Amino acid sequence: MSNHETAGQDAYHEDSDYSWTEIAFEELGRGELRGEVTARKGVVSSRVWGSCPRCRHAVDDEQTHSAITGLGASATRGVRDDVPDHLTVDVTCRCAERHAGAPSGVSGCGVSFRVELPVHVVPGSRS
Amino acid sequence: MTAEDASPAARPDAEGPPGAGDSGARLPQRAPSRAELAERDRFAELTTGSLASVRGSAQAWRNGLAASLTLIITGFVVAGRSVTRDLSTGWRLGVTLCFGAGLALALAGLWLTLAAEAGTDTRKRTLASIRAEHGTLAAYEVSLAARAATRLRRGRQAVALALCSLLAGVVVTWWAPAAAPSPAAYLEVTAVGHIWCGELLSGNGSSIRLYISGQHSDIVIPLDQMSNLQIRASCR
Repeated sequence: MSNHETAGQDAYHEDSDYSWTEIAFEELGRGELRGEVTARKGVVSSRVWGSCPRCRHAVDDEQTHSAITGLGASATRGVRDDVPDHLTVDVTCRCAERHAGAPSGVSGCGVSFRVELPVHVVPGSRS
Repeated sequence: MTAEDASPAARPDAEGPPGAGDSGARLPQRAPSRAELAERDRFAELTTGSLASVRGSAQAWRNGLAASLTLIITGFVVAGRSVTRDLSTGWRLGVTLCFGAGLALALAGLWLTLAAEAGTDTRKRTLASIRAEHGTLAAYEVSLAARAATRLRRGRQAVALALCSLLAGVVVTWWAPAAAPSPAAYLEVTAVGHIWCGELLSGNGSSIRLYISGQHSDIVIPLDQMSNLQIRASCR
């Protein structure tokens, strides 16, 4: 994992190498990184929180994976019926720490990784 | 390490421990690309703009619907009576039902469109209650947008049905047969101890001919047998 070895973990560096995805997967197993994807009233949202696989600072990423894209009959059906079993979530480190070399106004170390989490449908919340 | 080296074929335990724990997480087959990360950010903008987008569409529909409804109601008030005056009772009832149903459906559509634009939930909410019910504020807004989109869709369906009903009423006024004209007055004739009442069909120097409702043939009454003659508005 050359990127993991050579990149200074304190310096900002935009990197989405697969090694970070693998490390994130291992961290999910150890509980150092946690994630959940829920579907409430047909709206899918995710939260990934814990230690960044690169800089080890605390990350807390929340995303909403549903949007109203049209006003036809399919718009709300799409939100309600397209809930998958697992959802891939792309996370970029936005930890509160300032890293050397980061662009102005940008927080985090710049690493991006992917997690694939089971979708939990909240009971009684289908709209 | 490339994504291909970590494909499920190379990692037969990708979906299970070790590493997955009890989270149910699976090892993704590849890392996110720069384009996918950019699309993720653009989708986030789409998400936050969902509610404004739906309400903007609802506002446009509301404006158009309100203007159309004003024209329709004005037309009813100004020309409704003259349009149905020459129709028989049954046809007039049919036209009234068509126009009435169309008006009711149009009002329902307008109401649904207004509800989509302005929302109907006036409860005070706390951030904690929103997060407990929806997870995040963004998810709550998408939920509101979905509800508004449903209302707008139903409103548009109601308007479509309203237009069909109004069009049916207009077509009925075009094709419905005119009611049979009633005579200006009826004639009541007393002759030979009998009283006849009906429409005057003809008359000459010796007799008059009456059409009496329910009689198979016309009644001819000689003038010299008539003892009384009266004009009546009806024979009932």
